[in-house]
Amino acid sequence: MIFILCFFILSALAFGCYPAKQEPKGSPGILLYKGALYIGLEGKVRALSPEDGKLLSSYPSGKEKIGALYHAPIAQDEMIYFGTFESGSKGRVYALEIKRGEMELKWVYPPFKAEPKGAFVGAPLIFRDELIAASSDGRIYAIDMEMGGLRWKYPEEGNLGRIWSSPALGSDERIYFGSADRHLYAFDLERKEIAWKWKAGGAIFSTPLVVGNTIYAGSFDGNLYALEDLGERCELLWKFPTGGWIWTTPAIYRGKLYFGSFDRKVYEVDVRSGRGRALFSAEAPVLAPPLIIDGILLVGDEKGNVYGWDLEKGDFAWEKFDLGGSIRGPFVREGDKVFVVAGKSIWAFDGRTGGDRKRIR
Amino acid sequence: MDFWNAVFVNPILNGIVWLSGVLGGNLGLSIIAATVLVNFILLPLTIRQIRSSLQFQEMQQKLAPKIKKLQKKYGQDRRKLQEEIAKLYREHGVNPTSGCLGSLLPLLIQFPIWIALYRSIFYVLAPTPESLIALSYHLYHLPSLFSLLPLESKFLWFDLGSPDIPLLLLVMGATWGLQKISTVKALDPQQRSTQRLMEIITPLFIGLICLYIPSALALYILVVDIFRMVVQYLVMRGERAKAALLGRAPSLRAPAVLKAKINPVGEKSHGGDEEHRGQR
Repeated sequence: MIFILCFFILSALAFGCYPAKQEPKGSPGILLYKGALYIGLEGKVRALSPEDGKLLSSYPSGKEKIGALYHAPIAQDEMIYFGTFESGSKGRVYALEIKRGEMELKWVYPPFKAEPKGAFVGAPLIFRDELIAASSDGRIYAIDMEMGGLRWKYPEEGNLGRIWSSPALGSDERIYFGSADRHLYAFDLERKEIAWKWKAGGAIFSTPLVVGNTIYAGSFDGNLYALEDLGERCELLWKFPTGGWIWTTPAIYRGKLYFGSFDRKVYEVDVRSGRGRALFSAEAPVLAPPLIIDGILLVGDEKGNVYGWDLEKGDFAWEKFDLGGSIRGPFVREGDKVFVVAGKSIWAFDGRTGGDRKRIR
Repeated sequence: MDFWNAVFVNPILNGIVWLSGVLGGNLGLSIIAATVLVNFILLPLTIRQIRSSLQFQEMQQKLAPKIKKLQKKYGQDRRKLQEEIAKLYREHGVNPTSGCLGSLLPLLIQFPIWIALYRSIFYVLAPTPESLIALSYHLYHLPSLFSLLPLESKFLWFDLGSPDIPLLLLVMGATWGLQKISTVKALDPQQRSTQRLMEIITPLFIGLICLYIPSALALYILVVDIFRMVVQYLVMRGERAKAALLGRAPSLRAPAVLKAKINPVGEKSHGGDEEHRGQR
């Protein structure tokens, strides 16, 4: 009897101390569109004033929530599109119409009365009149941008593994994306089939960078890969090893790639030879894609530090500063002004000098 | 928290990730293997706990007729009754608290490890991007471990990251079985009815928990239950065989589910067994 009582008490303590589920919190990116910042925060998409962070509109209004966002919404013709990550690794794709500054739901896929699909971590992309979204359930969904109905999905049966990377559009109606099944896929949107796939040593969650026929993608095996798309197959041009996961998309500047790794280092790699070096070490893993403004490389880390590295001088452009929360989304630029999400806050600062820092929300 | 993670959680968590690599990237098999392995390491404590519990129960049953006599004699005088029972225990070398402590101590020692195993399984599931990032902080700096993640959450018919009703029913069944096999029937009718109630409540309680936790953790509970049932059965069989060799009938009452398998050696009963007591 005493055992059972003890078991109950200790179990209650143990289970009580730990949450039963790992709920998605989101690490949103920022969309700067027609004078407003659009961002997914606390289960809503909010439009904020870039000057002072004043709330302009919110969807949904009231107490309803739609799940977490792990990417910046995309926009076209007064519409914004994004996918969500709801509880239980489920998600939906939303299209909101911007009318007189307010956001109104135009459609949601799948509709609310239907079961949600797998969570959408990567951002969707627009291809002609279709919205292409890759899901955690290992499928690609093509949604009618006007009506929100499903045009097609791939594959019909089975799946391609957990897809958390945003598909990147290349030439020849082709998208590239990585998966937890360790493959980088080249998918032909015209034929609606896989053109080729290539296996890395670890999962590929970074959004690939496509330059002409060359695709650069980081993997959880610690390598940055350069692949050449040869139509029905690909060829590995080179790989560059680091000491940790690569989750970020590299930035390209004057024939060099710049990216961070979970080993806390920021690297510079030559696009042709694949030879590179570590530029500097950050205080924490680097997940956010870097941004280059006039030769200044902006890098954010998991601790919330922002580094400015002068690529001409080969030294820090300024003393790093701490924004107080993890930086996981990309930097967004408007002139010299840069916006970034750090934890639950949105910051703005001068991307050239690192000055004029302002927490706008 | 750092100490707790460094000493308990991280070794188990890295072990699970490594095992999943060895087992073809299968997280389900890795959880089963890690749970069995950890329980094997804790086996001496588990056996000690079971033995201690059985011995205490045996001694209690042995002294039951004498206690009943004392109850009849000093039924009204509670203080005197307590004194006489304590005296009886002393005469037979029984320390009433040692039985409980002997069973509880191994349980308490094992509990942090069970919690760490539970927590490790919780971490390796990493269903969201931030949980995968959090997991990276627990990994040892070995490229071979890093490249294994994230682990595939499909196992058999269920997703290890979500609750599953058929698995929940299996866990409830196993918990009921473990209760049945490990509970030595009390002599007191009131205690026995409480035991019967607990046999129902415990599986329901576990089932309720399984309704809210990922299946990976339910799988862990199922494996622990099955492992404990096997150990309990083997220890009880060993104890009975030992008793038979010493030429005394163990007064431990075989649980109902084992009755058919274990032959009673009841010729020289000391009166602990209900049936034998009834014959005297």
